Amino acid sequence: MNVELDTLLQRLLREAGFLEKSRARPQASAELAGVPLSDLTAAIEGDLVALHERGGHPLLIMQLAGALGIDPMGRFGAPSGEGPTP
Amino acid sequence: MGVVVAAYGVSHTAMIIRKFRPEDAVHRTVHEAFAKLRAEVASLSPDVIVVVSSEHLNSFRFDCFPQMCVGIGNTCTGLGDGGVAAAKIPLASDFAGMLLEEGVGAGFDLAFSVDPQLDHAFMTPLTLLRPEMDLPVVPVWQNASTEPLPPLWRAAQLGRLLAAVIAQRPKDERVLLVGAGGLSHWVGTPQMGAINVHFDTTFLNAVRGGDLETIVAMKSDDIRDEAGNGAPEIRNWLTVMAAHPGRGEVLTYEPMREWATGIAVARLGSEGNP
Repeated sequence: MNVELDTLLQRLLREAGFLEKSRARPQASAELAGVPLSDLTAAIEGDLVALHERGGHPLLIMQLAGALGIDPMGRFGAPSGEGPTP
Repeated sequence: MGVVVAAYGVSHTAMIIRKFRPEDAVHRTVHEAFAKLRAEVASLSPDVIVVVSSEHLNSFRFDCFPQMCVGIGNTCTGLGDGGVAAAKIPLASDFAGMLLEEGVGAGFDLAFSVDPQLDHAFMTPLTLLRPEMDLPVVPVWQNASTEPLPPLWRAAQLGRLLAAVIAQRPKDERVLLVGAGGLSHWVGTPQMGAINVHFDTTFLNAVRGGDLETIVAMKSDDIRDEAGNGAPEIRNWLTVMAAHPGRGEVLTYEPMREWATGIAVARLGSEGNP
């Protein structure tokens, strides 16, 4: 669990204007959120793999994907409808 | 004494609704199974629908995150997430209040949420089983997503609590139980889209046999490792199975990779079902 990153994701999802503000002034927003700039960059760019590797909550990653209009299966590399079956 | 008129176990991904393509035969199979239960619900006319499902960080936040929670008050609000329509639904306040009071009185530390907000975990099954949204609902959340998770035996105990409350309800109150979630699926991870058919088959065989012990013996960590971080939602089925024991009947199972989930629709404790 990465509480700081999850808190950032929740702010991006719920706090009106925070996503836009983060895009305009990423360094200031990262400092405000108390996370490395790389976390913020991964979030606003929809880098789901990086967010996963940094310990972001999977459900918040899914919600971010929805907010950014990203197909999570496609972004994670599994072609939609073609996931492996263990 | 209330009576359980039926008990169901169903998957709850919003993709069942959002990605439904009627021209696809497998999609139709899933929707036909739901349609069968929808007709059954209409004919059974339950007074209350108890839906046991999971939290997805939509109803609650990290400032206070319950392991188990019952919705109380007068109204539920469907959030409209995931492509499932928003809605207002009546909440069965008397039943919910009794579940909360009896549970806490029995040492069961239920949290509560007043006039709760429901995401697709509840709204997908309700939309598919009772689209009129006119029957009073009792939402019950179990944490299946955010570690640490309660052990599965606790989910079974919650089911027994439900049964005890139903036994104390007014004469002939008709209760429909729905356990929603699972089966195998990976959510928000690089494995998303994978399905473990072997795990799902083993689980559904336990459902068919009414085999609570096999499911209770499962460990959350093993379930997560074998069947994905969404698979611990099978605890919601377990709760309903414990509330209404007996052999189950699986209406359909489809490993739906494009919906990223092993999809199942089942009657639980079907010996007592119509």
